[in-house]
Amino acid sequence: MRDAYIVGVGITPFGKFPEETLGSLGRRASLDALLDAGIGPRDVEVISCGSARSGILNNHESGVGQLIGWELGIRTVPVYNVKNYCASGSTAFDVAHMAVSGGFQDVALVIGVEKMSVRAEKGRPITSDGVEVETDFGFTPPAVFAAAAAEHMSEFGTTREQIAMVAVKNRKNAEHNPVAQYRKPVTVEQVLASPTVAGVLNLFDCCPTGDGAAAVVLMSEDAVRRFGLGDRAVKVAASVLASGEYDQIKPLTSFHLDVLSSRTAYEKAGIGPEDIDLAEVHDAFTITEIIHAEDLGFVAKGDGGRAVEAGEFSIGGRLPISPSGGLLTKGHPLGATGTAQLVELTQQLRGESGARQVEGAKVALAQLSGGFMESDLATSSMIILTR
Amino acid sequence: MSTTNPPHYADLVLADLGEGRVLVETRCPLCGEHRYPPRALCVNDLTPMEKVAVSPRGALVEAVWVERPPYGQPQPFWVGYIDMPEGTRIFAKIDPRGRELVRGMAMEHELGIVRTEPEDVEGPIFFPAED
Repeated sequence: MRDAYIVGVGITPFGKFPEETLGSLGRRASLDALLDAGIGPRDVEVISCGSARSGILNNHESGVGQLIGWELGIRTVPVYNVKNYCASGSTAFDVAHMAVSGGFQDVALVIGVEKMSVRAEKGRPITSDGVEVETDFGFTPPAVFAAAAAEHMSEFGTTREQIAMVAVKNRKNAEHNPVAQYRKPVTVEQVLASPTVAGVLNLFDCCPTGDGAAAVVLMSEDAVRRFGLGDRAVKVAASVLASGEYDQIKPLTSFHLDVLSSRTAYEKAGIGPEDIDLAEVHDAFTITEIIHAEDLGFVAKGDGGRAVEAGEFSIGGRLPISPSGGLLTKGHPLGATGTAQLVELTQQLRGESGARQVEGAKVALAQLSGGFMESDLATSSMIILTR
Repeated sequence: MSTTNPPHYADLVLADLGEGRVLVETRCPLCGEHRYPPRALCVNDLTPMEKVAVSPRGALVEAVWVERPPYGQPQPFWVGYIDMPEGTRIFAKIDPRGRELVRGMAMEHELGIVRTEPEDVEGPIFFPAED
């Protein structure tokens, strides 16, 4: 096994762009990543591309990676196309990491892309894969996480205001992120007054859908030296992927799969949660950031709400979470989100994040969940970066 | 069965075991593990599982009012999790029938229309038990 390094990053704005296509979004992010690394298309030896719903949304089921490679003039290289729910981009990265660290290729282009602002055909919800029965019975992610919020409030005394503070924090971060979909700050009162979606969760407690792409260039240590990119390189200390445990009865206030996969990632990186300086997590809903913070070991189970209120997870706090604005406010074009997390964390570790810079950042964690299967998450991705 | 959408997955959890259609789960004849939704093979020993009726009564875990209904649901509705005594957890629509929904309360179920778009789909609806 060889060490692998992120040496280039690129990202498009996230939002609704009717004039853009999977190809144009992916091309733009990928070109920026190649330029950031100072390399050309002919230097890429493998493409790994994550796009969760290109078939049902854009009538482009297979070959999104080839499409983007074609846009850039990358020819003949192996292309891996990944569809793994919200974690498609993270999984695409994990594939590329295996290719580079396993010695198969030296230079990988990892792309995450999604175009959700149009839908090719109306039909079953895109969240129904793996929970088809439940979807027929009224399953919808806001309902699932509203139930989690209700139990968290009942069991641990977490307040509705503390949950809303996650949205306030992340909007404040997004104000300084030029690619974020929503950048206007909000107050707790505005979050609580936004329209009800399900249970205690209102509109501002839920992430938006949209269009976007993010890309990273991943290299072996040999390639980093060959291209002279040592001063740009961020090391991949761990990349872990897991699928569900599928236990029938378990607490709604913990995603135990994430507990398992994070411990595996910490062990691979030779660190503990106390060593993490900042994190990007799957904050598709306000309550999920709180639960993830607890499951990842950043705070004791049940104390996540109080930690948000105390500013522990704010920029300038003990362990900033979602400095990019997170899924909640940066946006969540499914396949793009995993690679977008890596773009943010790489820039943070390089000290390039401007007004949202986490001072002294050396160790970062990207956590992303994906899908549902028999009342469990279908996927858990953990990536630890160091500088 | 719809010809415009994939088969109604709700049919996977409904079966006639001899006394009309009921909500079913699967049970391993070897180790006794129960699973919902039904599985073909036991997770513990790969024994083919057999369909059995879900217990008539369970306990409410959590109920949520969905104000913004998803595709297939034209109106807001109650939905939630119910734990059954055999160790399964069921996600289903809930009809409060005028009662306050309280964690742990006994719930029973019957079959009804749980989805109407693009066409009617039958499934379980849980409601507070009388006693």
